[in-house]
Amino acid sequence: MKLAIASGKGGTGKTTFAVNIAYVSAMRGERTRYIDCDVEEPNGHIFLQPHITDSVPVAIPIPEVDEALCTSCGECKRICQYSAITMILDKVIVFPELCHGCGGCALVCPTNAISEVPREMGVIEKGIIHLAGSDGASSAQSASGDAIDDSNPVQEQTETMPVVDLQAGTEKVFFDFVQGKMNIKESLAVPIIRKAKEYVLDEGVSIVDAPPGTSCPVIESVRGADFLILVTEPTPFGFNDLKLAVETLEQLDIPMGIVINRYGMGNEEVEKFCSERGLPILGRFPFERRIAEVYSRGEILSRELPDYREMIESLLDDVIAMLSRQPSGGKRGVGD
Amino acid sequence: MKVAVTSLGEGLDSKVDTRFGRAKYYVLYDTETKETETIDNSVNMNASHGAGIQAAEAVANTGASVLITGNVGPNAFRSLDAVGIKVFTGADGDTVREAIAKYERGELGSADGANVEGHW
Ligand code: SF4
Ligand code: SF4
Repeated sequence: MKLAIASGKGGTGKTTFAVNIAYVSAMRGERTRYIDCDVEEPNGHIFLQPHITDSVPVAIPIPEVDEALCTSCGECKRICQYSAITMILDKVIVFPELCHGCGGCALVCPTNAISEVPREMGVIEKGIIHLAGSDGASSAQSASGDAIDDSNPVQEQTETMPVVDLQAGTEKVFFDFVQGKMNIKESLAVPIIRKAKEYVLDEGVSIVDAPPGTSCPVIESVRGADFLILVTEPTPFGFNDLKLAVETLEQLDIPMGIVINRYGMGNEEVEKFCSERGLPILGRFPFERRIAEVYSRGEILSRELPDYREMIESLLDDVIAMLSRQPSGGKRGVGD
Repeated sequence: MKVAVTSLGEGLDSKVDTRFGRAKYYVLYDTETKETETIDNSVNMNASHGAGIQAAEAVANTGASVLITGNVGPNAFRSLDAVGIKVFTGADGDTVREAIAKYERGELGSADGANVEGHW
């Protein structure tokens, strides 16, 4: 099952839900992977505290011009849609930050003056998540940066959380983590998101945490999901952004459901909109002080608050039920 | 040698415009013939992005080898640098005439890098 979590705007608690759904899924014994596609500001790691095991740079090919071969014909400038290569007087100039790496300029250059060189724009980090209790053992351990070994450091943690653990020393990992991270000052998120999404699992549960908004990076993140959860707030701003998000993401033809966060504030507009559109409301999560406190400590709500966990469980069950009713696609991967 | 000055109006007595890509006009001054010419940049002024690069191209096409302006972004600076146009700043508030006089007396500082962040 591939679940995407998105939100029309930032600050709705999207990452909180993505993290908690991933956590609950893993706690049920499902092979689960959390994939953070909010590459500008990935912050799922704050809660999940993964032990990063691998880091792969993401690069796109950008042109490099051999002036000795260049005849200043201007073909490269004409083909580039992004003004990333230009010709001023008889000089060809490349602007790496503007280049999308499409390869068009190299293709049209009649003298083969253009070669392609990699330009690193970000990184994909992979890691393993320990389902520790709230005693902070997991953070202490991941901070130490030690490799996972046979001495099974998970042992003491499994006492507090007996359902699932990382079976160290074997290949069997239940819960892991992937995040795309864009280098500072870069502006092209899509190539990094595309790379991160290569890690979506074929079997098991993948939770894709999309960036906020409704632009290309969001669409790239959500594309290919079996189900999309849109997180919103019952406020005029939340409503407005939800409408935009629904209108854009509807076109991907993915079944979706809505989660209303900070339920109880604001007004009924979101509810009305959902019932008009036939969008199922998967959950209404109140805004409570105790939730804010756990959140601000960077902890996983479903681990600390049993009733919160129940809400996430039932949300997950609803999604699974909806998917199993889907006429096509909607392969059941969870909770038999 | 031709000097280009970004300006708010036409002719030598208008004020220097400290924006480069989105300057209203460029006043061109030929130090040998003392001739001046004004180029309208209003097309570029409203460009949504890449204004600096296009402005650099426009200035390069005039044959100028010196540019007096205010803020030049990284892409514009690279473009100007690639075709050997020297950038001078420090004429804020002056008229084009005063700016050129200051340049000729060597009183303007030359910029050896972008002095504003790019925006694209
Ligand atoms: S690779 Fe594509 S985007 Fe980059 S400079 Fe060439 S044509 Fe433009
Ligand atoms: S297409 Fe090739 S030869 Fe023509 S201007 Fe560009 S780099 Fe030079």
